[in-house]
Amino acid sequence: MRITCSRDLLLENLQSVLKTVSTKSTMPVLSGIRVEVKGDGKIELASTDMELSLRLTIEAVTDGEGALVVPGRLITDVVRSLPAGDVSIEMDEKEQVAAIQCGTASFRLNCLPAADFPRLPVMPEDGSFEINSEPLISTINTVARAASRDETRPVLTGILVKFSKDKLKMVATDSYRLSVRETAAESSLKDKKEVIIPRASLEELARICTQSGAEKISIGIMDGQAIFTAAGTILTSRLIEGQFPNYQQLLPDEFKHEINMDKEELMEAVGRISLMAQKNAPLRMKFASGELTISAQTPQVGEARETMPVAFQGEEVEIGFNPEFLREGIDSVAAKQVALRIISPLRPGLIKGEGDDFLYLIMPVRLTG
Amino acid sequence: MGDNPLSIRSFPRAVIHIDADAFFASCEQSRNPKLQGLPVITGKERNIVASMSYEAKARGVVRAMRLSEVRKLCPDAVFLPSDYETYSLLSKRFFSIVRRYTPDVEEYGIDECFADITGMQRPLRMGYRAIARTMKEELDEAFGFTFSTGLAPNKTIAKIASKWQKPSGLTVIPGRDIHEFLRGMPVEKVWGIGPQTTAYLAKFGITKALDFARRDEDWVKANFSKPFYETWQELNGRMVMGLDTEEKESYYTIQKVKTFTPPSSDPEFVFAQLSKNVENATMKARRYKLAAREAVCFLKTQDFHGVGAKVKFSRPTAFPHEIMAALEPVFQRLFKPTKQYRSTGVVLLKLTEDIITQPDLFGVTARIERLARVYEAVDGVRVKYGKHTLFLGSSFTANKFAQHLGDRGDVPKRREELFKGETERQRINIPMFMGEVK
Repeated sequence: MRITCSRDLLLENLQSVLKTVSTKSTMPVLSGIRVEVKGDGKIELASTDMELSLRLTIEAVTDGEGALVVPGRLITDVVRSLPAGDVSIEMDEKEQVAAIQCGTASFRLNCLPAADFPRLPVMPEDGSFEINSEPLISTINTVARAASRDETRPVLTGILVKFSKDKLKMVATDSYRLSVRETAAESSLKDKKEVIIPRASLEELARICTQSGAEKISIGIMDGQAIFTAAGTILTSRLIEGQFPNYQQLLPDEFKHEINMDKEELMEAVGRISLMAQKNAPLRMKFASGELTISAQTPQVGEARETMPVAFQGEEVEIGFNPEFLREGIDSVAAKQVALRIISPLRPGLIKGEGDDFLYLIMPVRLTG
Repeated sequence: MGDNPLSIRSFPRAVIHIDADAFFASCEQSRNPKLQGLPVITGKERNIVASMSYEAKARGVVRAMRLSEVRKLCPDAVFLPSDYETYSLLSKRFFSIVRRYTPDVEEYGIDECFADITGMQRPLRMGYRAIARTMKEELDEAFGFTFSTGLAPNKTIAKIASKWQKPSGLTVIPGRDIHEFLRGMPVEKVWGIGPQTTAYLAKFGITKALDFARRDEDWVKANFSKPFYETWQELNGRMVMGLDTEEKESYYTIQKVKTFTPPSSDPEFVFAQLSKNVENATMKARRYKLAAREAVCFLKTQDFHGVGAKVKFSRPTAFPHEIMAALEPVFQRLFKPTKQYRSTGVVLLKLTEDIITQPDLFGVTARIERLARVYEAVDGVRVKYGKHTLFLGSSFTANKFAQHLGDRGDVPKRREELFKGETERQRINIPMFMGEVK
């Protein structure tokens, strides 16, 4: 079989599927990309690291049908090195060789048989539903960063996703902060569905949807797997098993202070002062009557402080935060005004945008001296 | 060319290596004068020779020999159980005496150290040789046993010098004499050159240390990795290896291994042994304010086969009950009831400083802090009433009996003569060494 398509189109798609090519697996076939030539002028590129899989279809001039697993990184590097123009690839299933031709340059890549490639899940006939992509993507982008990167507690590396007929809710926490967003999202789902999806899978989904500009996403939830299709791209992900922590009980019923601030102004000040909070040093926020002083100091590095007027009344409160966690929380707020609610220096604080459907609960750092 | 010196300067730097002669056995002889002149052997609790006095060495006893073999060679040998508290206290004393002469001291093991005395002639009003001699004499007198001392321009040569004449040697190798010492010396005797490198060197026809030292610098750089290039440079009289003068204050790993006799195939007993090791390891970790992210546990059978496995923790911990909970399923997997086990061990890995600055939302840190207070109290009880007065239930059967039953169960005599309330770490029975081993 033979395919011919533009080098740019091929490269762009190879780079996309290369993301889910396994880099450390002991199974050689997982470091490859399955190239399937379909009869109707379409080819499908597929890759998986057994946790996440990606399939995308591109238009090409094709001749014959069949499939081979080509070495993923290598073919991408080869195609990238080619001059712009049409690339033609002749694939020989029997010899397990892909011959690439572009101008006078030619390559022969040893491949693996497509039969060795794992079978990827397919969308269930019934039980799939459609959802608008905009709320899904924006929710992933606001919530995902609070998910844990620590593999020792797998359930926290995922994002709890609740789908219902007209609502979408996502929750993520790394146990130091918690992000919750519930937003209106039209879907064709009749009942409710609740799953924990790995953070990396959802971020990949958001990336693909943003890139392709797909308006709707079809979602199928199966045993231990979720499958998403958007604009011809199919992404499947392993689901995380386990009990997501009961986040409702973490949210304090009431707070002692609520301080409203301009988001941009606060973000900039926090960003500046954070520069002096190195080596795990906290960012200090001291609220006094009518003003907020943000400060940080790192031994042997230096210190910084900045004061801004805020509507705060009552006894002075000084609370410390991990600067990175605080910045990410403020940054996730979409509104112009951000509210910080606090109780005391050792109780969690809450960041919320004005009129926002987003909550960011953050545990303070204990301050000494 | 064979007689040309490798270096023309005598002491561009001056490094002393001091090695206590038969340290453990010497400590015992020094403490109990009745043992002077007798073949003394320590390591009774392990049933193999840990250290032997020169009298025993002269009779052909070597390290790691089984005590039954020693008895055949040397029927009058005195076998003593190791008394690490005493050795460690004497070792500290040894280093502190060396530090009177220079602050730059590297503690290289319990019974040897390097001291950089470069530039100390004027403050001490002595030449390098005199410093080395005075140091050795002061040590010999303070301890009642001897120290082998070597003075040279760097660590590698100093190590050769101190080994040159044992026991009680004082060997000085100035830079311009190095070649004389290296000439007949097999290359594997050089510090840092192991069997692999020796075999590799033999391929190039190098068997003597001098052959290696005489090789061309570029050739060495091209054929060897950096540590061996450094050794080559030191053999040529340059000083490239610095002294690690920090007193041991932190650990990368903490390991606790204990053998027990008789061997056992009782899962509860073997598990208790492991639990006791974990308690000891975590106690040490807590003392240094460290917590482990990972731990390896292992079991050794009577036929010296070992099995082990690693566990990772969701957060750093220094609490034995948490580590035991994680190790229990691992133990179940490793333990085979048909085998006889003779020792268990645990290694705490990826140690981090045990300070919490960022509490979490779920109250886990609050619980850890409460537990930390519990263990603070436990450690307090142990300091006051003895190490094994308070322990986990899982360690119970290991604490019920002595570590070794039978002959190997002998403990150092001073431990049997404690006053009520006194711990075995508190009294060393040597009047000049008052103090407590940390």
